[in-house]
Amino acid sequence: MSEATRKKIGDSRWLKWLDERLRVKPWVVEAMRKPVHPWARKWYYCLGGLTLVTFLVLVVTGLILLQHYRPTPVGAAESIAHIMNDVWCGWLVRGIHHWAANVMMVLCVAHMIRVFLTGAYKKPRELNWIAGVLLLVTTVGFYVSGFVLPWDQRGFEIASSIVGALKQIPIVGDLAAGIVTSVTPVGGEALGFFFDNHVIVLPLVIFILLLFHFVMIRRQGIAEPL
Amino acid sequence: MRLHLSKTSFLLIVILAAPVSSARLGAVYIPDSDADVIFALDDSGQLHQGEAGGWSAVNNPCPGAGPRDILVLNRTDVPGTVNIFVLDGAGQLYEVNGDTWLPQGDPLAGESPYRLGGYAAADGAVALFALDSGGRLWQYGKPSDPSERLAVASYAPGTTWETVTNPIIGTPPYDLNVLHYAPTGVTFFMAVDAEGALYTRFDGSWEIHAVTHDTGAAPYSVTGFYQLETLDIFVMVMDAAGQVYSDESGSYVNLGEPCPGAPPFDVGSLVHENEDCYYIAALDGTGGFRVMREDGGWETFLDSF
Repeated sequence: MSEATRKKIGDSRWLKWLDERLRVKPWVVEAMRKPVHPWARKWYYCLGGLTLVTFLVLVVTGLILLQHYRPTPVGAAESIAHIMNDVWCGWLVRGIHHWAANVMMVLCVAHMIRVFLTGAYKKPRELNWIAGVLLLVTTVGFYVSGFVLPWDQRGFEIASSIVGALKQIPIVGDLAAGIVTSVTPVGGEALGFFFDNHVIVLPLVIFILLLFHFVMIRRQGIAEPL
Repeated sequence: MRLHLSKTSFLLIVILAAPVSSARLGAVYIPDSDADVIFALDDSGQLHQGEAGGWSAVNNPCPGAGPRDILVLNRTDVPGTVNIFVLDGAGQLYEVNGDTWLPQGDPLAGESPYRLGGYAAADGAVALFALDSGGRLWQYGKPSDPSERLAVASYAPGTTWETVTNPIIGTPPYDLNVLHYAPTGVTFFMAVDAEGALYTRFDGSWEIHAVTHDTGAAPYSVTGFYQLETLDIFVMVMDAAGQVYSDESGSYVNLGEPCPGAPPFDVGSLVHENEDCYYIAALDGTGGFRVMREDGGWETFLDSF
């Protein structure tokens, strides 16, 4: 960001208004002072930021869908039909949510490939790499649990497969599967588990991981390519 | 110009001009009484019940226009009884109530012919769906608030059919089958078009699942069932030659011998939950009812109407 732009934003009325109430001007001015290195001014260095943008799109569209979705075996299919047919622009919101989820998965993997190929995971950024891996796992968790929510045959089969796979874990398999559901075949209990994770547990986890990820990027800066 | 027709040629013309008869099958297994309930609806709208001695006509013919489709549902809330629904060519739904045909709700405003599908949930709630020739799936009595169950809305006066999004982009006419497994609450839609392409509905959209390789003959009929032990779904398609094709991961595999009888056929499944047995049944155009044996042959249980 150029000095002139920084000065323009620093002197803006809205920032003055905010600063009088929240004392945020020093933080905003400091945030704008971080230059983007010349080597990072390439499109593939934007993949992480784009992943965040798609995540925010998912949060907004997800919150809208949450107003109408019912996490019960009977209510799931009916409420999705309701969203698609009756809710104003519901089909559009759900479509955006669906495609943004796919785009986020692709961007997330592409971002990690970029980080790997440019060696940005090396010392002293190992912890941030681990946080990135955990973010990918969390994203996959969102993705998979999202497929279960329509509770159609595909959702049911995904839930059944996950419970079946958990049961195969030595020693703690039954315990792990029991956390998802106590009944066979999987039904409303499992749907509730995936719903709770999709809208409560995983958002909490991803928020903590994203916070850590961005704080570390801020502190360590963007790594120089190899 | 005068036509000079011999008696033979006149007879031939009459035979060629005679409409091809067709019949629709409604069959369900009643676990409480350990019996199959077989109904069929002929071209004229006459309902027939299959019994040990053969078919017997039930009630007066269904009013309304053809072609019609029939759906027989096991009423899980009242043991040993069934709901019989008929959807006529004008989109009017009827339910058999004693010896009368009770019109239900407003007519469906889609493209005829319609195919009727549905299920009865564990608490007795009935969900009815129809597929029109435009490939659109319709739901009967869809409540505006999803928290309201279908049972509440479906029998209210003035109930309407409402289309759901994303029609099938295929070749009409279609056949529809709806599976529902109460313990999991999962509903599975399957449809087959006039070219034998099988469609299944996931996540609110139809997906093409299997296609024929120019081996079958239209019209096609579709059926399916849950194997109760594994909850795997088995889908079968029957063509006009009476050949049953089983869907094996997106490929059709011939199952058994072609069903004897006159086309078109309507295929159905009978799931004997108590015995863990599954039967494929077929009704031919004249009312011949047959069940596939283990060796792939067909056993005739009921002759023509």
